Amino acid sequence: MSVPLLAVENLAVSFGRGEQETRAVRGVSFSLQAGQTTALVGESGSGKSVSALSIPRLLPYPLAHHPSGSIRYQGEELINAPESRLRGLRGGDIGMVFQEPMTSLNPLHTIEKQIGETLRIHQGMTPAAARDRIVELLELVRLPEAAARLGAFPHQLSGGQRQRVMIAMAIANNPRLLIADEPTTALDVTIQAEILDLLRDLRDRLGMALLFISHDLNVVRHIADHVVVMQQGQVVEEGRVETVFNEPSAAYTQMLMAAEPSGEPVPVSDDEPLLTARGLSVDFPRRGGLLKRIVDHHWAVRDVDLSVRPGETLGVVGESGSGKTTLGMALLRLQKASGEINFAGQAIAGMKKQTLRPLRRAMQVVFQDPFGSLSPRLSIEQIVGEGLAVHRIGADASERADLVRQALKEVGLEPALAERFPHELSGGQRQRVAVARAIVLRPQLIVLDEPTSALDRSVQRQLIELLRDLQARHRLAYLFISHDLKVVRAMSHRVMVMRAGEVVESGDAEAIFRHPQHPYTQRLLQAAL
Amino acid sequence: MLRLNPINQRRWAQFKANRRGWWSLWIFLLLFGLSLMAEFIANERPLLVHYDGDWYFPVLVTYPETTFGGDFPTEAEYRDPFVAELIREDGWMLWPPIRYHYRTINYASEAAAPAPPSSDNWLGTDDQARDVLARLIYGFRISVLFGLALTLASSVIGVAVGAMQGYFGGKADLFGQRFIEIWAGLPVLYLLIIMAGFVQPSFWWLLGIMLLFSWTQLVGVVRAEFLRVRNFDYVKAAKALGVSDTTIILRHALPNAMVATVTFMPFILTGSITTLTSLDFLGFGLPPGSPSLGELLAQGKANLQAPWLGLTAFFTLAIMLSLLVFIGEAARDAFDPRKTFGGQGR
Repeated sequence: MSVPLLAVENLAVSFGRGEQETRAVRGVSFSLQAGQTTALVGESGSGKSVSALSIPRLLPYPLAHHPSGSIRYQGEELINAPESRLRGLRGGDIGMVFQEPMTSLNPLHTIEKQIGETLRIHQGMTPAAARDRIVELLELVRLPEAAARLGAFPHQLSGGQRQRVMIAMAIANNPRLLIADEPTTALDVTIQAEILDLLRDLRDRLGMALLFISHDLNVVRHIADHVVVMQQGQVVEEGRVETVFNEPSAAYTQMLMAAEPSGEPVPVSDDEPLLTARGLSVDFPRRGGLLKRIVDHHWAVRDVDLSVRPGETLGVVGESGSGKTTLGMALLRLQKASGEINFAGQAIAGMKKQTLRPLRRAMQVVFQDPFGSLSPRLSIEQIVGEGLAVHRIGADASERADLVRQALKEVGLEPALAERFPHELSGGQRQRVAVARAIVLRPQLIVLDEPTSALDRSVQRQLIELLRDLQARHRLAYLFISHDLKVVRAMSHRVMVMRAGEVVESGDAEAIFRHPQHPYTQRLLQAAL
Repeated sequence: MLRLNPINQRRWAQFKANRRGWWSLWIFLLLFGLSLMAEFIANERPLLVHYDGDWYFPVLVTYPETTFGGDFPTEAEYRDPFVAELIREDGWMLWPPIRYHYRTINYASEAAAPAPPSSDNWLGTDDQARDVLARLIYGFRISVLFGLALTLASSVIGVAVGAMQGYFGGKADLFGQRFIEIWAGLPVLYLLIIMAGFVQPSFWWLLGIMLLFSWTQLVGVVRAEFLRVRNFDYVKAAKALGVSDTTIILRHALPNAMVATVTFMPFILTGSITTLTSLDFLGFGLPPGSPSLGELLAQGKANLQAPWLGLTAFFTLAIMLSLLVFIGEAARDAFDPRKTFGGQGR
């Protein structure tokens, strides 16, 4: 092999000093070749992003520092390079694409201004010259109607389009190296496939080295030539992508591969449905004119019929904006909706708040974000015990405390955690607490709103097993909302595919996954890697 | 001992880490504590009298002059040389360090009022021959107490109104906000002056009138915080549990708003003190004769030949307000999530 474009040797990154020192990266080495894609893979906290951000020195220095290591770019040492030299490299020879296309563009500037800024700084282009180059770049990243979009602000673009603009900014100065930090994680699957395609194409056309950071093994398998697997700040395995995926040697890599959600839902009997909805719609009126009259409706959910039996999981699948979360909230009466909802033999659609309260015990919810769904100022015991107090379950405080500890044990947590606060727990533990909060009330139905999306694969798998186990034990009915088809497949008896508020296809899970009928479902399954 | 949860423990540590604010808090508490005991520090009555084998506590109890063998059944004038002589013949008196009350007129002063500082009147006397230091101590106390009362009352009202508006949103929010906009647009000072014409303002009247206008300060931040919290998953989860609105407001939403409130409070306090001082300065504040920093400032302006009046008032105000601002800065640091949770995340 020729001299690598970038060689990272024995790199270490620490945050803080003395007793508070956290060693995020401990002796990592890898190298990048021009025209090749190298992927850093690992679960959250493995140090993959920190390693990558050390290259253009974008970490919060001096809090972060490098006890050892060298980063050589074309033979030039970057680790002690002066700030002015690095400024020249960033956005010039080294381009970067970040995860969140929503926040990595400045909402107050047009895309022309944002891309033009880097051209002006690095190449000293005049506005007129820059304009031509920007159009050229936007066409290169396949943004439709590029010339007409120059004056657009980020909020006028979709997530995928914003990510294209980010990529256009990153490649504006013909970088030799492009660092992409989870560039597709926040995107829908169909768009993810397009962006990966684009990145691969650009790499070949511009002859760049691509450093791709991801937690998603399937994405990596799709795009990378070379894989570096990281765990807790160290490299556990590296090699060509085929070698690593076909014959993983490190135990951790094998574990990651095996962590794909799998298994089948527990069979269910033919009972009367626990929850049925008929003609359920949620609309957000659009008002206009002087008198703010309703001129139009935006249907977040339109005419949905569904039923769930005890012990059954109904999977709701769709991309962002398809109305699946709104549907879940409407079923729980947390969102105003029209149509009929029957729960346990009672019509709850028009029910008064007070009458509904006793029923709330039987229908619970688990949210996506384990960080946002637990009140940060309450202890775990208070969080889990809150519902008990509301519904007057348990005679006194000590009996409630026992129930809380039982629920924690049931979701696989140490009862001693009850005295801790949410910020002291990991993401997976928090999600278990959220499940405990729901099951402590002995509900009949739980709405699971993307409960696994914010978790690492290995933690996901454990949570799915836990949920399946709880379902079998208590004959729980689940409404399982997710964009992740693999997880849905592992959990659901029946599946409903939603697009733009409407159900496009529904039926038996295996049938839909094997023989999708609707073109949208087919596209969705195809795009899922 | 109050048990703090880990977040608050870290905040407390963060507060202490701001050395300037930490010392300011102690100095302020010390000064405020001393001023609360003003009667024992600056008074025209002795702390303790031993007369004819009996113990007397003039600070706490009013004794007629006849008790000490005088002629009148009225209250004893301990500063009167005649009475002092009567007591000394048959016992002794223990005086506070400053032998003047804020309303005591020093008839014995040899210089014309306002008299410059002397061993008798450490900061001189004002234009009615009253001891400046004594008036300062009482004035400081009344300023701080007024400020605290106003801050507390306007915070309670402001948080309650902001919480309602933010949590329920919709019409309550719309009309509430429009009302506050109009209300806040009223020219406060003129209204205060007009109202001061109707009633003889006392401490409580002034507090009430100023409260009418100061409660709006916190509504905005609390409302914003509640609008944000309303959409958090943990609030939705609480609703799904069937928790009542009142409980959600008090237990889940209010702690978030308290950060903004506590951070704001020291600055509302300084604002309250400044408003009271300026009203006193203009003569629309506390009733005549009350010890007040604003009145002392006005005297300083009227008597430029007696610089000790203006300088004393100026330095007292400057030091008091600076201390409060420093404390406020430390409180702001303590509640800054970037500092409290520093080192976590990238």
